[in-house]
Formats: sequence, structure tokens, C-alpha cells
Amino acid sequence: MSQTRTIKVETLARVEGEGSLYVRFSGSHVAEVKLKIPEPPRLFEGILEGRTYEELPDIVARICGICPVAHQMSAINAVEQAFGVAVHPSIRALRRLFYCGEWIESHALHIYLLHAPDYLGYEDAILLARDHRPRVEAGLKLKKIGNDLMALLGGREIHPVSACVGGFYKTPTAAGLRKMRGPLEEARDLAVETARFVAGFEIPDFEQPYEFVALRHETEYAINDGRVVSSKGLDIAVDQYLDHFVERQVSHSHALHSSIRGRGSYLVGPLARFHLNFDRLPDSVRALANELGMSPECSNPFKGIIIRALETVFACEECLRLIDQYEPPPAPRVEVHPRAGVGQGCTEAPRGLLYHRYELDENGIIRSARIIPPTAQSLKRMEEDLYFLVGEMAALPTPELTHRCEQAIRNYDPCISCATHFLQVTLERE
Amino acid sequence: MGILVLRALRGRVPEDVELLEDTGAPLFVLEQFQRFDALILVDAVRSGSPPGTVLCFDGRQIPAGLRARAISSHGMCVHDALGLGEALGLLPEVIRVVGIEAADFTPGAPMSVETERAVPDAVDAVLREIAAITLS
Repeated sequence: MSQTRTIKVETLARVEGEGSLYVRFSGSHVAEVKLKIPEPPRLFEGILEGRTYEELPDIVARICGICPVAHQMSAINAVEQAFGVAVHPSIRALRRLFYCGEWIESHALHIYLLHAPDYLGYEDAILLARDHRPRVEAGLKLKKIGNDLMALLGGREIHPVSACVGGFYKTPTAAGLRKMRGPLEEARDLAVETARFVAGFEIPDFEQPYEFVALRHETEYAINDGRVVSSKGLDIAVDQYLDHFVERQVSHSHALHSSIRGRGSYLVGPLARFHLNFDRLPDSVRALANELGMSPECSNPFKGIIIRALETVFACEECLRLIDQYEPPPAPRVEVHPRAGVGQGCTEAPRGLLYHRYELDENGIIRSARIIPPTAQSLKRMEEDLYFLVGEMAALPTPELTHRCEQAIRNYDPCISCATHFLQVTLERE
Repeated sequence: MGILVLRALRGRVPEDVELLEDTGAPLFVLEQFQRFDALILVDAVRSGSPPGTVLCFDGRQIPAGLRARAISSHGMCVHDALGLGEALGLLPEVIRVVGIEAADFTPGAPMSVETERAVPDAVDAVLREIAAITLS
């Protein structure tokens, strides 16, 4: 006799965009898992065609209100590669600082408002705040300091306007940057507290054999440049990306599924960076990780919240280092001479590797654009996580299992789009 | 419509009143709670009244059931901001809402004629609200 059970969660908050999860059981066996993305494509690549390289940073910043810097930096790197632009080391440092601000605000927001309620048994951040007010206040303060840094360098925190091909329209003075020192010291302390707080959460026991993919830099914890490497030996330049990664259309999703040619799914984001670049973290952050029992071998996606907190500590310390070493560049930007060509840029958005590719003509007009965001790269792997999770936890009562599925999706901090905010979950048991 | 009302208010409010357009930052409204003693939120509303009706009410009176609890990193609606502001003890002493009943909330739908015609009334309503603010 077969038994059918269907569970629907009409509204899943705390993820980005419109999607639904469908899980079908046949007895205790998981027959099918589909993460459906019905949201229409946003067609940014099409919008960019015919636009100039100068408009590019402002347009791609609109892709996301949380990670505009990531899109700006991947786009700018791509164009600078196409035009052969070399920026001053101080500009490079400022871009890293700008990007760290985004990591701080994005990670703080995800940890406190989106993900922590899952671990502490609250429906949302409002209920969490009622019982853990000082913690949520600390999280909001941390986020604001990240935003303030973005506003200082980018002109404003949302869709910043100062970054451009060749540098910035305006760069800060050393004294102006030093004003952020005090707040960033406070942010570092708050981030350390955050890491200790989330490391105390009850974490589901769930390990996966991921192929981790992230940028790797010769000396730094990679953010804005490096080679694309993986835990299974991939080690390529950014412009070889499309030789090794492929996108495939699936009928149930308007977002494409990425995989590594000949191998399959892979994981980008905090776990991947931590695994591949642990040795590039400052001693203080590695010591904190050790204290909290976090090893680079971690392959439990539910521990991603701890890694985000550790990365926030890193980002604060990196900001302080960059501010202390900052010397204003001779000019806010170098002169740019457009030339026909193709450029590709990869950076580490808060959610993982973000790839941009542009074909430009001799006048700097964009002829074609391609953007592969981290959430699209992770979708296939997200589905696989859910497949194994519901398989391992099938004995759980349905409400609990449904919650675990939602939590597992939020492990990825998915940014399905910037437009809508719900995900319907359906578990069907036959 | 909030933006139209706000722009029409420029130059018509006392010096100690700041006019702010929501930047779209997810915590924008929440952050304003901490900056001001009194706050007037101006936006489209859906109450079941005829389109174009101007409504003024205490922000604290928004029924709890409307608080959607759908916080996402890309946006926090007014209900969420009020809920979180309340939980964190951040709500300003005065928090008023001036709304114009909208006709159509479909994404991409243009503003209805009735709503647009009500903008001057909403401007007057905001000016009255400002004049009525008394702080303890």
C-alpha cells in the first residue's frame, strides 16, 4: 500500500527571488527533487548590448542591491582586461577595501536577519530580535559599518556610482579613510562575537563530497582577482572559464544550471573559499577558526553561517590593514583607450564566484555580454544537497523536514533574483 | 506615489524637517527610526477604500497580521521594518503614515488617474501632520 503525503509551505521568507521546491517521495525513497525557478529571466545581458563600457558599472550595479560592488568589479575587471588597462596599486587596494565593505554588510545581513532564526527556532528575525535584542542590534551595527564603507568609496551604499573602468571617479584622502578605522575596529570585535555566537548553534550533521571552486591568489584571501581553482585540481586563468564550465538549461528553471565539464556540480561561496584559501587567512582568523572547531576540510553546508562570520572578521581586519597602508593614487583613474576585444572578469561575490564576459568594439561599445552569478553556479549543487538531505532525514516528521529543506536552501544565501521574495516548498510522499 | 508627494513637498516644509526618498536599501526605513523623533511615511496603501482616498493613521496601528514576516536581504517592507523596529525598541516617538489608496498593485502597472489626482491632497495631509507633531 502506498501512502501519499504532500506538504506545502506557501511562503518561504529569507531567500531572494521567486522559486519553489518540489520533493517527491516513493515510500521512504526520494524519487525526485526539483528546485524550480519560474521567475522570468531579467535579460541584463541584452540590456547591455549596444551600451558603452562607461555605462557598464552603473547598469550592472542594478542587478543586485546587496552585491552591486561584486557586479561592478567583475565587469570592470573584464573591460580592463579587454582594453589592456593596468591600474595603480592604490586603486587595486581601494577596490579590495570597497569589496570588503560589501562582504561585511552582506554577510551580517544574512547571518542575523536571514539565517540565524533557523538555528534558534524562530520564524523570523523579528521574533529573534525580541529574545536576542543585543545580538540583532550588533548585527545591524556591523552591517551599517560595511554600508558606510561602501558609501565612502562608492558615493552611496546602494548601486554605488564612483567605481569606473580605470579606477574611481573620486578617491578618498588618507585622512578620510582613517575616519573609518574606529568603526571598523568595533566591527571586527562585533564580528568576532558573531563568530562565537553562531559557532554555538546546533548544527545538523550533514556532510557532502563537494568539488569546491573559488578564486585563489598568490598571497591574499582572494576577492577581486586570482586564478579559478578547485578541490579536484582545476587551476585555470579566468579567461579559460568557459573551457571548463558549462551552463545547461533545465525545463523547471529559468536560471541555468552550471557544471564542470566532464564532472558535474560544484560549490562556490564561503565554504569553497574557506576550503581552498584557508592558508591565506590572517593568523588571527585561523586561530579563531581553530578555537571554534572549524577546519578547512569542513564540508557541512549548515556550517556556512560560521564561515560567513569568520569571513566577516577577516574582511574587517583586511579593511584595517588596507586603511593603514593606504597612500592616495596619483590620479583617481588612469586614462582608458577602448579597443576591440573580449574581456573576462571573475571576482568573489559574498555568495561566491561571479563571472562576467564582454565583447567590445573599437569604440568601447558592448557587442555581447555574459554574466554567470554564484547562485546560478550553485543551483545544481543546491538540488543535490536537498536530494541527499531529504534522503538522510526522511524519517523526520514532515514539518521538521520541510524546515530543514528551507534551511538548507538558505545555507546558500541564494539570490534567485532581486524582484520577488517567496519560495513554495512541496514535499510529496507516496 | 510617495516620491511624487515628497517632491511636491520640497521647499514647503519647515527647516527642521528632512525629506527623504527611500534608496531601496533593505534596512532604509529601519535606519530612519534611529535618526528622527518623528517620522511620516508616505506611500501607496491598500485598505479597500476607493482609489485616490488619502488615509492618515498611526504607524503603530498597522495590524500585526499585516506584518508579513517576509524579510529578505533585498527588501524589508514597512510592516517588517515596524516589527523589527518595535522588537529592537527603535520606533520614534511619533510615527505616522500618509497613504493614497492605489488602484492597481500589479508590477509595472502605471499610477491610476485617481491616485495621481490625489497627490495634492496627500501633500496637504503631510503638511497638516507636520504641523500637528508634538513631542514630549
